[in-house]
Amino acid sequence: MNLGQYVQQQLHLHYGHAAITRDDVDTTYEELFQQIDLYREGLRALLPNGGSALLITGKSENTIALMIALLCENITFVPCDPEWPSTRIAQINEVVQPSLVITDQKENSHPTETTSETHTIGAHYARQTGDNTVFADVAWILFTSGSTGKPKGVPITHKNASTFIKYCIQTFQDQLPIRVLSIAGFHFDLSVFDIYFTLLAGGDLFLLNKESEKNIRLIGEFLHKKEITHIYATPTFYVALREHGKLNVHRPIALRYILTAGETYSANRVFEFHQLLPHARIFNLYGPTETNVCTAQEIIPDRTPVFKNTFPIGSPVADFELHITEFGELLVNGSGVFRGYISNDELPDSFQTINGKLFYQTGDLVTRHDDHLYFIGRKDRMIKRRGYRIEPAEIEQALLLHPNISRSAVITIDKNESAVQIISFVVANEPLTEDDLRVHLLQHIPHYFLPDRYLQVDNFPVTGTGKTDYVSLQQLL
Amino acid sequence: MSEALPIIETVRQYLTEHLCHGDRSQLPADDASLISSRLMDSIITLKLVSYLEDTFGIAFEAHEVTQENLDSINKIAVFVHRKQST
Repeated sequence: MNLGQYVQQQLHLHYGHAAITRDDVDTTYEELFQQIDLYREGLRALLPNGGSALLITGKSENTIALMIALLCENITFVPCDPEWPSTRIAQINEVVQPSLVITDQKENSHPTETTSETHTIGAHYARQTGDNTVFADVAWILFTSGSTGKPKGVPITHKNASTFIKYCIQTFQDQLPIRVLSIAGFHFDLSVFDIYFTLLAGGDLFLLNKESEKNIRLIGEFLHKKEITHIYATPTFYVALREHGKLNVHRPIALRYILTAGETYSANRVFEFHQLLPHARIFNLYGPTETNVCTAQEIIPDRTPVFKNTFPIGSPVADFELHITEFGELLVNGSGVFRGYISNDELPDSFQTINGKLFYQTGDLVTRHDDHLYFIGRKDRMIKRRGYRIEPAEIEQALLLHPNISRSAVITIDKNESAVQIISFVVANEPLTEDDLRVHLLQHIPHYFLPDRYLQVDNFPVTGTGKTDYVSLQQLL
Repeated sequence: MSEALPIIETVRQYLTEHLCHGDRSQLPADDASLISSRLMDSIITLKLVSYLEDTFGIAFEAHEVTQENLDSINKIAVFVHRKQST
């Protein structure tokens, strides 16, 4: 089933209601339907037989209409954060070789080598690249940090996405009005809930402008004023909301579903948060981008078990099956699981066949305690900070692009309950300030990859085999 | 921290401690950008706001927590001063 066509067909059920609200302006379900049609017409003229598109656009009702139209026309899209450095967008462009590059700026400020003329589609601008890569059945491709030092693409099929969306409708839709606040960027899988759950449930999706998005205090006020009912964000967001959202002043009493994913959430932080909003139900959703959400656990203070200050990852949702290897790695099979990366690099095989079924090797280590599964760490160096997946190798590679840096290493420290800290070490032939390094890195990696500390050393400790000795670096702190 | 310190020095000291790991030599210049340079993220910004409110007995309205008011040591000092005198 085509997800876009299904969503568009269902819109008429909610005619007369607001579908998306931004800056106090509503887009109704009828208007959204018409916008989607307009975009479909424009896209068909450019790509009558489907293809692929890089989407370098901000969060708006127009971008949502465009994304649904792309799905309808079988054009796989790659949502890119317009704030990503242009070198990262160029790397992604090289991997995908899309048919179109779509922006919301008329001038193409990204080095995506398009010489053809610019076509206006709705509120967007599209340029044909000369390539026409088709990814059959793939709805969108999400790029995530790669251990080779370059981002890798996770293709999500219409079926993968529909599995998750159907689960959301079954679990989080009730008979009351639904008003969802969108926090995550559209290049982040949490936004799939925001967009498709809301529209299929007949709710109203609230988008914030760029400045408000970063202002937790304003968000606290917004939750109350707009009577937001559902929100899906990272634990980091909720910790900040509790500390800085002034929820004791602006009580968001309409909020009844709080969904979280993306990193582990320490149990006592959840209890503190729940005390402020005792009427809300909190759900911890687990699953790498590669599988979508594959397990879920409702967190009920005093009832949900806790092990080492964390909650269980929960039980499988939809048709997911879990398998745990003898080394404690979690393997996952189900309709939500992707079918392999899109990358120009040789990547290690990430699947394993068990009893004739293909399981994805998550790299997440889990432990079973009293019949519940708990996340305990990673098999590799990947880290999660503020919900973002970061491969230290990407930061190391970016540092090495500096002309005066000869060696780089990135380590992480997990300080009690605060977020993971990233520490970078460099050997350089001249003194470099933190500012120099930050400015350099921002040309190559997203700002959410930036180290918390920058240290310059004369030499790197090495192991017996001549590799960087990360353990000794850890001790330099 | 002493109330007698000028606003700008209080801001410098806070940022030295919370942004520069206590290393004053890494402190940005008074007119250097803090937010658009990505030195200060949204959480550090809000912690700074809470600190300024407690230290100077002022209250930021939610819509005042903006890059325009907080993007440099100078801008922060000017904004705190303005809040104090209204």
